[in-house]
Amino acid sequence: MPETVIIADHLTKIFKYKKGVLGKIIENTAVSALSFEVKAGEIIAFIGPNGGGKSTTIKMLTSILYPSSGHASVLGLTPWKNREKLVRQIGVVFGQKSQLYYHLSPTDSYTLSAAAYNLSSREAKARVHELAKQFEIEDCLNLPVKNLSLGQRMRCELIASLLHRPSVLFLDEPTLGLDIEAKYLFRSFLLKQAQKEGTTVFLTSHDVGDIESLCHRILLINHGKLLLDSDIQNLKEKYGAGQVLCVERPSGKIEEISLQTTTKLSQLKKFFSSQPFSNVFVRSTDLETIIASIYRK
Amino acid sequence: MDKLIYYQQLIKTGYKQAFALKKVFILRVLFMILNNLMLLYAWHLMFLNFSTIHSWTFNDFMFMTGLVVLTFSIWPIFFRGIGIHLMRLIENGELDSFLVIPRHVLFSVGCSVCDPSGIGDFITGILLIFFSGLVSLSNLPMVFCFIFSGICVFLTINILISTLPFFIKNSSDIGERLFYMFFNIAGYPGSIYSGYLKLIFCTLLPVGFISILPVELMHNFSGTVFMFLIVASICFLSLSIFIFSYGLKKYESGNRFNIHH
Repeated sequence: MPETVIIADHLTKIFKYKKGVLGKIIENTAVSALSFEVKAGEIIAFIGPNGGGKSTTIKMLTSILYPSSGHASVLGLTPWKNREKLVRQIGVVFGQKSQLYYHLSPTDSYTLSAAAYNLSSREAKARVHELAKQFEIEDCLNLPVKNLSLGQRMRCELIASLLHRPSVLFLDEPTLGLDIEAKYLFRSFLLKQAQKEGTTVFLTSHDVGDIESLCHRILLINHGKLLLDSDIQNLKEKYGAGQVLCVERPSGKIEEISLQTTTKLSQLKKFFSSQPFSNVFVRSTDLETIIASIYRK
Repeated sequence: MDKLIYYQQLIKTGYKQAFALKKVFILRVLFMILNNLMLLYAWHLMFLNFSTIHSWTFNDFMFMTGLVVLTFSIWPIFFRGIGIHLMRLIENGELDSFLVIPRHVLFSVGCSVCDPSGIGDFITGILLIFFSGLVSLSNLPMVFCFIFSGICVFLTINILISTLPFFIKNSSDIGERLFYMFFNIAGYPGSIYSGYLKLIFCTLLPVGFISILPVELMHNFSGTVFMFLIVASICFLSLSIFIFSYGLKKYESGNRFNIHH
């Protein structure tokens, strides 16, 4: 496997619409000269606001869409030129699109996927058994998909996308609509699986919990352009200033001072002695606040 | 071989899905047979009064209808996903789940849906061809070639209709009408078409490959016309697959919630 598994080089996608019957063509640039690289084994959060270009980028990287210009390479292959060859080596989960048959059991859908990926029946059964056991979903495998809860269904979707042991897994809002417990289970299974098999994960999500619990690195885009490429820890240190010391004054007003490695004791003394206080607590600057502030910039 | 196993499994899964609603499955097969026989009875009454229509007898008409119904039936039985279903998938940007499968998109969609009423058509088609009195052991291979050519033509029309949304937005209604128009033209005795109309139906809009040329060849065989029929059918099908692949570059994915039904 190459060291760099995903390369986007000035990747651009422009959608064109015609206004009226004879009207002029309107162009909407969904992704604009986007460039980044992802190394093997990384778990990347690819985030941005709605309409920012996340899904369009994932769709170009997974051979669903043709770009307007630029180049991309996934596992050394150009997605839109080597579709069948590439999708044999990647897994894709769309939170809002199912690959399972609604009236049939997940097992029926897995049998079909096995045939698509040239897995023998024995090999596929062993793999499903292994994943189902790990994802604690063995009891659901023979129930019709329509009777599964959303959480169970998403775990079954994940099994479908991992059946052929993909080197890269693309997840587009996989925890959309899941409750807290289901999200927790989904994340822990995904993390375990990625660590066990060294899978590279490229994740888009609006849920900061997904990003914090799974990812090492963030790629943040808006209006189709890359705004930030950073390690999560660095991001917190740079934009969030780590911990914040809060004091509650008798009037109920809360005052804050950012705690950094450079914060001096004299500053803290001054902060505490300026007015009386009734309560003291420390809070971390959450990632959501940091991301929102970057969007606003 | 791997491909065949996959498509076989895909069709099997499609039928399993359809058979999940058993009573509907059986009723659709029976009603389709009834529907075809009622239509044939109406034409029988017509032939009782006229005995021939532009030199075609009721037996010729039976053979033609059998061929149309039988070749048409292959579409709902094996490729029901191609046509109106595929048009709607393209129009709504719902092809994504097929594009991430390492198989041909067109045939993956085509084999993923089945319509049990096709089995009714298939049974009717076999019966009509057999009872038309035109088929003998000596011309049976030729009849198989007509069936092959007819399947190619029906598939071609369905594939071309499926590609419309790549080039014209919101064209699924037009496509649906075109499809039924084509089927209606094929349903009348081929002898009523002559002159330029016959020329068009035997070349550009190859409906005559099913409803005109086979009956004519059964009565007056011509090697040239027969070869033209087979080669042109294959060329039309290949061209339609190429046009679909070209159109796929224009596909715009959507963000609707969807699931295989």
